[in-house]
Amino acid sequence: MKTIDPSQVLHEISNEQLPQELDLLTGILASLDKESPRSMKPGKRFVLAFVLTLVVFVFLVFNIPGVASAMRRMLGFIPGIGLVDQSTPLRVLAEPVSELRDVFTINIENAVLDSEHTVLTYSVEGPFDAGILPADGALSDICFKAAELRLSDGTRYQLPDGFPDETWSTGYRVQSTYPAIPVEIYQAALFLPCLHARTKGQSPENWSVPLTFVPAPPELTVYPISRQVAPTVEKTAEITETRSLPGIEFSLESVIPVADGQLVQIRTDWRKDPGIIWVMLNPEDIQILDSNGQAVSFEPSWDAIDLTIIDFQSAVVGFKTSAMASNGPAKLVINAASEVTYTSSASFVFDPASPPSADQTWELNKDLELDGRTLRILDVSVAEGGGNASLSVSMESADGIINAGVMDAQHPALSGGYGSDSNGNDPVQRFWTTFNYEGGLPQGPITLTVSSYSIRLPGPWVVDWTPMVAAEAAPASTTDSQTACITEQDWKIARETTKTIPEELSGQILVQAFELGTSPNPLYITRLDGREKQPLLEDGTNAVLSPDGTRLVYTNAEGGLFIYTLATGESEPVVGASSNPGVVRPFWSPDGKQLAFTGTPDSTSPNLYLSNLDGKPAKLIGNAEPIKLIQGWLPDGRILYVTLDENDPALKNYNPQSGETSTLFNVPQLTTSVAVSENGKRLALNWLEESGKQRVYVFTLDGSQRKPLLEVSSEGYIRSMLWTPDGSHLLLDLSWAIPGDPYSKALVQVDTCQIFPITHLQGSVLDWTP
Amino acid sequence: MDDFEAIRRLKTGDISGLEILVTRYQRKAVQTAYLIIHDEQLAEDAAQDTFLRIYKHIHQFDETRPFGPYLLRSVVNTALNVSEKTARWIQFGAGTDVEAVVDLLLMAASTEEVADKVRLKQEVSTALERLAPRQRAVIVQRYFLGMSEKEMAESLSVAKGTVKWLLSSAREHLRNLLGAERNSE
Repeated sequence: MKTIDPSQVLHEISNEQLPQELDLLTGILASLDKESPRSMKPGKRFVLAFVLTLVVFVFLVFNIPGVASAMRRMLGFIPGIGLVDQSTPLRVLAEPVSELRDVFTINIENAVLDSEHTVLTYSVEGPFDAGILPADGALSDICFKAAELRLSDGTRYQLPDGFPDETWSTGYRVQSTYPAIPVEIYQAALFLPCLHARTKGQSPENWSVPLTFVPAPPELTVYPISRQVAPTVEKTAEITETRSLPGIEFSLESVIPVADGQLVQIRTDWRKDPGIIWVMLNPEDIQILDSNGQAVSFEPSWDAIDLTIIDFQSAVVGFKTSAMASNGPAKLVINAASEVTYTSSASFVFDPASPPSADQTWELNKDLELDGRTLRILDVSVAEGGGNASLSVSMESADGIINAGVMDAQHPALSGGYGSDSNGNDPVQRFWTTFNYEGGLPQGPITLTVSSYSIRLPGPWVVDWTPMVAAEAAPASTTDSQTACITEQDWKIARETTKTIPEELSGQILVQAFELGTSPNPLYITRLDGREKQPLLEDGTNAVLSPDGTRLVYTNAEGGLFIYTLATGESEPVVGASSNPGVVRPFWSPDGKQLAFTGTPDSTSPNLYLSNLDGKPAKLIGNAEPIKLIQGWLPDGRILYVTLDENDPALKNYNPQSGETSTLFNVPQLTTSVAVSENGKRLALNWLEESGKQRVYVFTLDGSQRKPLLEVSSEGYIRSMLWTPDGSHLLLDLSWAIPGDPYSKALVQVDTCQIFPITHLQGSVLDWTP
Repeated sequence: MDDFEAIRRLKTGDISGLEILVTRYQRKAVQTAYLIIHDEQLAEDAAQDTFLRIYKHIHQFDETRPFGPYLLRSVVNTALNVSEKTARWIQFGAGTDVEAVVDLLLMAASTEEVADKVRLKQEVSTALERLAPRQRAVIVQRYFLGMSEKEMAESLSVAKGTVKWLLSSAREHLRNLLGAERNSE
């Protein structure tokens, strides 16, 4: 196949329109200069940057390389609406709105607003005489304009012109997805420039309907995305057989249990073959079998497909099944890739010679070779009327080609269509392409290019999964307040007050008292109130105390792993990890007999390692997931980690005894490591939102009972989070853009949201033992 | 100095890191913006704004990720915002859809005849201008930046409504309108 490079064409188009010399730097620096009064002094900026660099370096590998996580943080599913992001409070239409104008009625049926979208459904009823589409009139006179969403500040959200989602003889319904409306806005207006498919003056125009939104009520049903969607092999979603044709892969994208069935999404991916334009799966080529082998009825459904993740190299198709038993694995069988479309550039010349008479047909019977398959051009027919001309090409193939697209590159068509005259089982397939020329048939010979052709590829491909019933899936947290209970303002106010730290919070804390901008990072332990301060090491990072408080694991300046004994003041290398500069985040096992850590030996992808502290080298653990970052141990001996592979990042655990891995839930882009409480029952995660804001959430281990605890503006930075030994408080170490107080720590009671400022500790708190 | 070092410098407050990144990527950034906005000055502004925004939030940038794709994804989003605010575009219904532009683009890329190439390039440019910004962005992401599915997903520039439009309903509806029904098997 001929190699073509469309990027070069786009490069040339854009390059020719731009000046030879570009200088953006001057403008950028000028802009920065204008903003300098708001900036920190250079010295302070350096200090902050240094600290941030240090923090980022410590946490370097906890960020997510190139994944869709930022957009798919806390997706839930609302029937009839689709996927919603719950990382900010959902809003809905306060109540349905209905307005009558002339003889037309508009009904705003519902609206759901999340952090990424505004999904709005409305319908229009009226005397649409001959159905929703007019019987006559030029296309250019007909209204296809989409309704705008308008805010009081003048913001207008516009969509491309389009068509309703549903039409009937007296009306139509539209569900549109607009950009997100800022969270503080509860008023908007839907503006219809005209009604769909009406010509000018036929019906109301410039119709503005006021909308009021309110926080989503607790009873709003938001189904969680099933954990079965985990892309790696899980107990509940084992892919028992995967057959890939060269260049095409199928996978189970997600399964969402809803009240009356399962929403199943299948991804087809053809990025490995650049010659493929599209792969289509038709429902008739798919079977869903329950655990008893019985066929389950299903229908196509777009409801739960995240359309933001579809591109020109893959597609997701969705189906909603009827209710299914959950007592065993179900099967998804793809019997064939219904239509695989490849690019082509074979051409032939058609010369009508003289102006065609009405419906004239020219027999060609010309064979073209398309990647080794023969396509016969049977005939070309032309029909003229209304000043335009329609050209149809009839084709057939006995070589598996089931369709072909034909174009006239020299005379772009006004419109066109294509179709088949055969059914899938015919040994010889007949099909056609037609397109319309504006202003009649071009003069002279016409070069027609077969720009694409399609074949059907037989399977089967089989995927097993275990259906869950909706009742088993924890409902998305809508009962909790979705507003963080601590704001930046709360924090500032608390910083100016004095509160006695609860007496029950005892134990030792490990502090890294680095001097800003200097290299050594001395470590010491102390009581929270600053008593009993005991210096330990002159330099060390990633330090964690052993469960009994007698030892300390840390990385030295070169990144090697060592254990320091508090009683003797001596350090010993961890065999196999002391000379490895790629060690970060070591964690003691609950019994203090093992160490698990994230390692990147020889600059490889971060992975999990386990040392039994028996003099033998640390060993690589876990499955083949390419990127794994440890977050801690659970009391029962499982290791908690985050995977950062090409799929959604997920929080998982690994059992060193059995070697089993299971998924807890998907996580967002992390900028701070997950904090695991001492009893392993609670987690704290720092959620980075697209706006740059960060939110600290507290979860139970299964991902339920999500509580937004603290919201930090984009200027802030959460340096670390640490649970108190009793799991009642989080010690939060923040960097805020607060003049004179750029770094601050406080204990936060996670249930009451009380803030206890910590002002006497300099440096970072790394660990806390009872 | 590589991107990694430039970013590390930026994170420590050393502005020379920014100079390196801007010099290295400004042309591709402006080209990307231009293909979406189709206005030279607005394209430069969009690219400049993107650099500024990244600079201001450089501490949130993961150094382990390649900078170029990150920047260009951001440029796409900025350019989309600019385009949609300025509304300098003609919508679908004016006769062009993404499929037709892609066909033209592939044709322009595959032709070896200079005169044809020049003409087809002009047609691609004109056809691009007739697309909605998000449709342009899809083409730019896929065919100019060579973005993968993962990267396109991350960019969020393929909005639900637009993709739905691209994928099925619009073209099917148009076919129906024109009486060019497609027979199902």
